[in-house]
Amino acid sequence: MNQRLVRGLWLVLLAALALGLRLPRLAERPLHGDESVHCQKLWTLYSEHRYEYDPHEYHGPTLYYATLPIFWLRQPASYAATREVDYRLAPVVFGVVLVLLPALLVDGLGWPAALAAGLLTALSPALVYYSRYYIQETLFACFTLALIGAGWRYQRTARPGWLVAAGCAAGLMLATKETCLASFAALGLAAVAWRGRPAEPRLPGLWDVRRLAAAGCVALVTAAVLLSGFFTHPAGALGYLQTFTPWLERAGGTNLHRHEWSYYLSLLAWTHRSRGPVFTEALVLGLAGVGALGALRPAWLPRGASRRLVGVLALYTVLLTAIYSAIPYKTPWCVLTFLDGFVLLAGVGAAALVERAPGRLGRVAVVALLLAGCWHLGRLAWRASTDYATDARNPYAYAHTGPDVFDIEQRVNELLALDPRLVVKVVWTDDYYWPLPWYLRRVPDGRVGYYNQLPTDPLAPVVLAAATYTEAIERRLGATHEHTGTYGLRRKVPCELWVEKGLWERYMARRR
Amino acid sequence: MTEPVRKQPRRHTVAGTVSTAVLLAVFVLVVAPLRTARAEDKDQVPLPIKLPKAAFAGTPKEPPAESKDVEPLSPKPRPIPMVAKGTVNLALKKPVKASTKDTFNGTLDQITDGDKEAREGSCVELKPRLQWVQIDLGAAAPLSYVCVWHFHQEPVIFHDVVVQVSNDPTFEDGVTTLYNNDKDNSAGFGVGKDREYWETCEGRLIAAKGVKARYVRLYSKGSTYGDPLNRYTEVEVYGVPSK
Repeated sequence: MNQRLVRGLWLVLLAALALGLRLPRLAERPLHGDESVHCQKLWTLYSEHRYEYDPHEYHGPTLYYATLPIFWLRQPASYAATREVDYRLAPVVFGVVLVLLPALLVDGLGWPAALAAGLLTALSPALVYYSRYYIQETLFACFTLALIGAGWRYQRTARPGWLVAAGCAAGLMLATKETCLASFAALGLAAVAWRGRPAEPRLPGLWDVRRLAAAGCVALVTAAVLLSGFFTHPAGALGYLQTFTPWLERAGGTNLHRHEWSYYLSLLAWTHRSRGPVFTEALVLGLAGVGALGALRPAWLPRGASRRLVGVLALYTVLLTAIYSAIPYKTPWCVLTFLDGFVLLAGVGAAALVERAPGRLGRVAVVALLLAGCWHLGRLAWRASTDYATDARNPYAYAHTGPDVFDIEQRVNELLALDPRLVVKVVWTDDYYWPLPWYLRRVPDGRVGYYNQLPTDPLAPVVLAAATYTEAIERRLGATHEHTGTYGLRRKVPCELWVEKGLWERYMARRR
Repeated sequence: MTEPVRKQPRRHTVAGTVSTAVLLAVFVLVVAPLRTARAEDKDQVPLPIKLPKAAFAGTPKEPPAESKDVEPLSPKPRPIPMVAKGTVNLALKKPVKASTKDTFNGTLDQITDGDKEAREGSCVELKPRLQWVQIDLGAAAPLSYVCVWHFHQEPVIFHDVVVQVSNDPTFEDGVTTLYNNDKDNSAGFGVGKDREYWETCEGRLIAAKGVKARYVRLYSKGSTYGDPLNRYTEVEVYGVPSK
């Protein structure tokens, strides 16, 4: 059979595997607060054709624009008609594309290494978990790998098309997350450090300054188009220049999400809480270590692997991991930013181990061991994304919404069916009542109010409140309202539901 | 010569009669019952419950203050009730079954293994939605209290806690509900009158009022913990073993 066809079939298999882990039971996990904010912002873009970049929060708009085609196909009539799946499909698609992108590096890693890297990408618990999550990180990882892939292809062919593609990828990174600067710095430093090592004949025009400048322009234009909401809000693109002050302040000077320097490495290496599974991607880390050795000892490289590419990947991964580890502000999804590099190196490591195994039997044994490791990774990815999706033992489930929120949604919707003119007031101590707006989206516009203190007139048929307000609400509404339940919005964050007595009696009369 | 002292005859006055009646009444109403109670006290002992160590100090980050529906966390230890002499934990090491064949984590025998400490792995985890566990005490006995520790590593509220006893292992006949805090009848046993409560090392002590039963069944439907699981660290059932 033709080699291209065989490789194509392998890629189809990888995509199917990736999809099999990313698509099922997509709506089962409650929306994280961050996801629900992005849902709201996408809905504004879809329904009002408006996007305004905020330099202080939310990152860039690529996630929203990537989701628009799904909405154009589905044509939801209202925000209430949208479902979790409509949003989460976009990161799923990018999660699958990410699995296929190592194919761009086939002549730099070797086919077995590229295939192994694709397989590990498909199975990595962190990559699977966050591919099912409506946040920017999977897209960012995808654009980063696209930049590396296109950059490599340009280096190999000197075709301007690849340089344009690399420029586009860099622009998409800029428009996705402000932290792209760290990725550019790490990649740039690594590329410069390995430039001309080992010496290879240089293709004509490869480092032509005009070409490189044009690629830079492509990146800036791509970013500007997106950040300005396709020029509907030009200030957005300019606002990007102000974004680094708040982000740098957050990175270094806040107690929010502050973690030890070793947080990311231990997250990947070993997390075992209570009797949950051991969450580990030690296989990826170990294989990446073997792969990185190839940069130092060329004899370790598998057939078809370029020492320069492996060297660039190794240095880039180490630098980026060091940068992210040095920043006190850490959230587990940021691990995706540099996990890509580990996975590519792990592909090289896997191929090297198979090649260096003594004899046919040795190779079979190594392949069997690697497949067993892959099986473990895949099983872990599945469990992390389903049974342990919101479990405190899952290191990827971070400040996650609890499943009680489904009960809140159901209760409010049932009350709404009884009284279509229902008014809901949410009283919370701060702005961390998200994702409640998503779960209250079926209450008509203008009938849900959010308050950061007990309003002077708290009378509404339904009041959802942080437990801090229980006593005050009991004093004010005790005679007219029924406390109908305490729900866990997040771990250690209880939320109380108060319902007007008459409405509650009518509701209960139906349930008896 | 002096005149001999003449003995005065005793007079029966109204006041004297009343005083006697009062004394008699005091004896009948106060002293006699006290004597009886003292005799009964000899057959009453404090509930032989041993509490595990507290896993957390203080109150949750945002605990509900006093509310008629959620019992506030008390800074004082719970008073130990008196029970009949000979009361023991009838559930210790007794067989347990559950509504699901497979647990999510752990084994059902952990519910009656005597280990109620809030340490890793000391509780069994059942799958999401309404689930029950059932303890077979081996023989019907008059029960005084049931104490349940769902999960007390941190303050959480378990939903729809319903505790029933029966002599029918299928719980179709002769079921007595001892506790029900299901406010909206989502468990299907009617609207409960009991309050929700924060899990602590004291567990939930539920009066069984001497009802004679062999099986104890406990329902729950997840908690505020952040995942949908049902957890049990220990269940103790106090009563005097049948002879």
